[in-house]
Amino acid sequence: MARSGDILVIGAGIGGIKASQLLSKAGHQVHMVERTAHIGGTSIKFEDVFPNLECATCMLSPLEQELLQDPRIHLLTLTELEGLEGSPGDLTARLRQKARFVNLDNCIGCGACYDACPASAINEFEEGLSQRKAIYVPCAGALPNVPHIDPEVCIRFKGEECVACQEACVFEAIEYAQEDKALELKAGAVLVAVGSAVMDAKQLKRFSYGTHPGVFTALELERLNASNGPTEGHIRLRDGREPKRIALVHCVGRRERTLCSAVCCRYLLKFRHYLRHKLPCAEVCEYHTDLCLPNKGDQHFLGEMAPGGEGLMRAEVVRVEGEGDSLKVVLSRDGQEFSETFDMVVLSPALIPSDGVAELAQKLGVELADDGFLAVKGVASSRPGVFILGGASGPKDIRETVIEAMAAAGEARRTIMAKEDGE
Amino acid sequence: MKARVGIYVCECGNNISDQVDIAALIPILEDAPGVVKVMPFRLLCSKEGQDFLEAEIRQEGLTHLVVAACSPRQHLTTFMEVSKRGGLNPYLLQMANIREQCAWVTLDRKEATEKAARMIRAATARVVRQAPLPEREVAANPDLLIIGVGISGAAMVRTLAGPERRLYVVDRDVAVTEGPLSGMEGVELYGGWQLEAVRGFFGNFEVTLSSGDSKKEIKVGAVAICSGSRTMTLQEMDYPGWEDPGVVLLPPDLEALMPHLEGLPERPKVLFVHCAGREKVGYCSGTCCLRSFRAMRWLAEKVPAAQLACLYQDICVPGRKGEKEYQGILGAGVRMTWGRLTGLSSQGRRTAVSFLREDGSSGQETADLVVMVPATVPDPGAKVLMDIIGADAGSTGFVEEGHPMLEPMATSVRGIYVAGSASGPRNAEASMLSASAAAAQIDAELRPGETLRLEAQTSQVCEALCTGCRNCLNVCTYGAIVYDPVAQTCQVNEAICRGCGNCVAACPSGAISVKGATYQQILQEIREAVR
Repeated sequence: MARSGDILVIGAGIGGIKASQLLSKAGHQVHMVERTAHIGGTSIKFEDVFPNLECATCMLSPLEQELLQDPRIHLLTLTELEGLEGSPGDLTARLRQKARFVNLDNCIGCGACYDACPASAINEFEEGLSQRKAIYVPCAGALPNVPHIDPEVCIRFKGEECVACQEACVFEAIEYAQEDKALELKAGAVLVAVGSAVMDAKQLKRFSYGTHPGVFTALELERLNASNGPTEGHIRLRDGREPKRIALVHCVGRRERTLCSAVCCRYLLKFRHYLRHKLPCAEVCEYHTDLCLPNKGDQHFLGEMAPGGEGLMRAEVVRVEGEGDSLKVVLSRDGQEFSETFDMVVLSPALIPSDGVAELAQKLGVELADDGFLAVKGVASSRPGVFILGGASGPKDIRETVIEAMAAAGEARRTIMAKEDGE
Repeated sequence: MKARVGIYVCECGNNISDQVDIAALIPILEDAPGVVKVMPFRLLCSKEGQDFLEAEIRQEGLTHLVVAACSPRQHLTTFMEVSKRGGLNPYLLQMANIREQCAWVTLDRKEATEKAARMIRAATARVVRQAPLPEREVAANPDLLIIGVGISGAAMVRTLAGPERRLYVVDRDVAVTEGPLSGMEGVELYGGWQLEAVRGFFGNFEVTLSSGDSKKEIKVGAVAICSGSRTMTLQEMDYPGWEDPGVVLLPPDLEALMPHLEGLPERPKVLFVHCAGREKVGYCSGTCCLRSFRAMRWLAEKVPAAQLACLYQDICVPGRKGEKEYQGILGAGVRMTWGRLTGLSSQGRRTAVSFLREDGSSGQETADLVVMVPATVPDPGAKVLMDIIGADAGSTGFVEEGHPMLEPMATSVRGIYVAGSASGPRNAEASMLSASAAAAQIDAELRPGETLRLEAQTSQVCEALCTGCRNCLNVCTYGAIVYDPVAQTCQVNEAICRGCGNCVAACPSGAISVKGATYQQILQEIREAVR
């Protein structure tokens, strides 16, 4: 039987990165598959991370650079799994890699192409708060620092004779002729690190998200505050005004999804830090039913973010109603309803399984739990040789994701070694 | 040997050449001391560029190399590899970042050109004062000391035991020696022993164990702290009236509650008090709500007539399982009351529980049995252990992780790892997971038969200048500096030093420098930059 000490890691967020680096250090060849054009996952959207308010980019960027230079980590961007056959120690993964239309070796990431590109679209990475070109990197600092062409947006792929990006590129890196590729890889084990997604707040109509421009999601605020974001870090309402009264709403979708998303209390507290610095005159009110601060340093963090409990109130947000430019937040506390008026409301929608996780489960041959996340025992999936880590199996913070990544890497390694010993 | 410096200026396509007049640079750079060649190249990081540089190092017999290009963050490792291939010590290379720090930010072409010239001359002045640094390696002992065999310690033993490394397992409990881990291959159990001293560094620790008057010396490459945690006692929480017989602690094994359920009225009211001891310890233990809900479910099955109530402050059930349990007990009719416990007292055969509401008013509930859900606290031995090892214990008394997010299984000392609830409250499942993670990290970082690469750019003490003030010793987070009482100077252990430079800044005598960033190098670099 042919066996492989190689390991396939699906997802290049913080979990996938930590797992891959540990496996590389232990001597394994890692094939890392990422469906977007860039690595870093959700964490690279953050300016700072709780609880020590460390700059997220400064924390992640060296890890990402190290990963890109690691000769034992083979990164495949724009790639998704199609199928997985075989048994632990001898798995064959079928993959599909979309064309990037930019030569990774030639491109140096100067950005001349996207300045030249005439087509634009909504930038999904920026939560739709800005526009991007058809050839683009999602934000400054995204790695690898090589753009890709979105054929859905590029006018050349719609039949026009545009060569603007090719003409702008002095490195001859633009390759319109690139095609999607089917690939096959051998691996001894598979790690699934596809993360989680955020519930669409529009589904919860009572919060007026999408119907009133003053209502934002947490990720939108995160990008508004980001120095590499659409406003270069200026927190503004959609019409450009500075918000003066801001409500932070906890537990959005907690009841509907019957889960605690584990991270919202801490990131909403972190927002107090953002707002204190960017909008020192704004009044901030935070509405929560419980505070989920499970780590030993979290109460200290709470004390720093909300000294003496200032601006914190135990009350349930019943609904949010638009009143012209303002928003009326109807609250309930001890059975009594009352309301407060704000010009900005920030929601913390529940974390949910990431897009396409059900199809991925099918392709991997692993079970889904009834809540739509991947079913796990520890980090083991229902299929031997396939391990799940991080947000793919439920809401996790970075710390928990990293612990699971290391544990999953260890389990995958042991699976392979056991197979080798068995022969 | 006379220096022969080669300066290679990358055009970076047009990224640098558009803004910097490279042709004008060449004569300015050519007369810098030691420079034998200045050459532009279209793209040095490309395959052709790298091959060209490698050939140049050989053909020109270069002793030092300056690459004027992009940020060293992007390509320092690339060009260090090229240097090695060309037969040049990689530390004899200096990069001048004339792209990010010059071409991309300096708007005027003339100014950018002058700035680039200064940056390159500065890099040249620095690199000619650089001596080659050896790439050092040290043999590593793959054996491991595991302290504590609770859930996490035992899991680590089972994961790492094998013919490739010896595991020394220490626990203050004597029974461990005859326990379920006895007889495993390569595992030595020391029940009733404790850690007395740890010397050395990652890969080569020397450890003294003691048991009464007996002592034993062992050598290991790494240490795993699995000393666990325990729950707070009623006495430690010290709520007024805690001695009341109707007050019990939620035990780890629910069956231990059975005796307390005997002799209760037919429809007993049982009140679970969450967050017991939380104010005193200053953190939420994160695991107790779920444990309490499971106990409520268990109790509802054992005593179906029981009326269950809960006094709580925050329901903390992060993730997908806890909230379901919570909704379950709400559905089962458990009455939830928000309140901060202030005291307990006997009221006939019942116990009265006093609490403060959020608005500051007082409330009271009575119950036939009060189950206190206690905070988790570090093992009392953890603090002593951390003192011996020299790693950080945080203000909570739990072991501090190397980095709260990215290095959760490491400590502040390289080669000392932590797993389970020694670094913070964890339930059994999370402890197992953390043990698995720590084992994986140790297995990857301390591989049997492999050597450890050491930092080349370490700090060095000039003994003639050192006054022995020991400021450096206090700022070294790696424990790399020792004081020699005979010579009355400080010395750097190069196997531990990571070249961070803290000691350099702390030294009032200018006796310490980091190799590759000496005072002379930096001074000359600045002098050229501002000349």
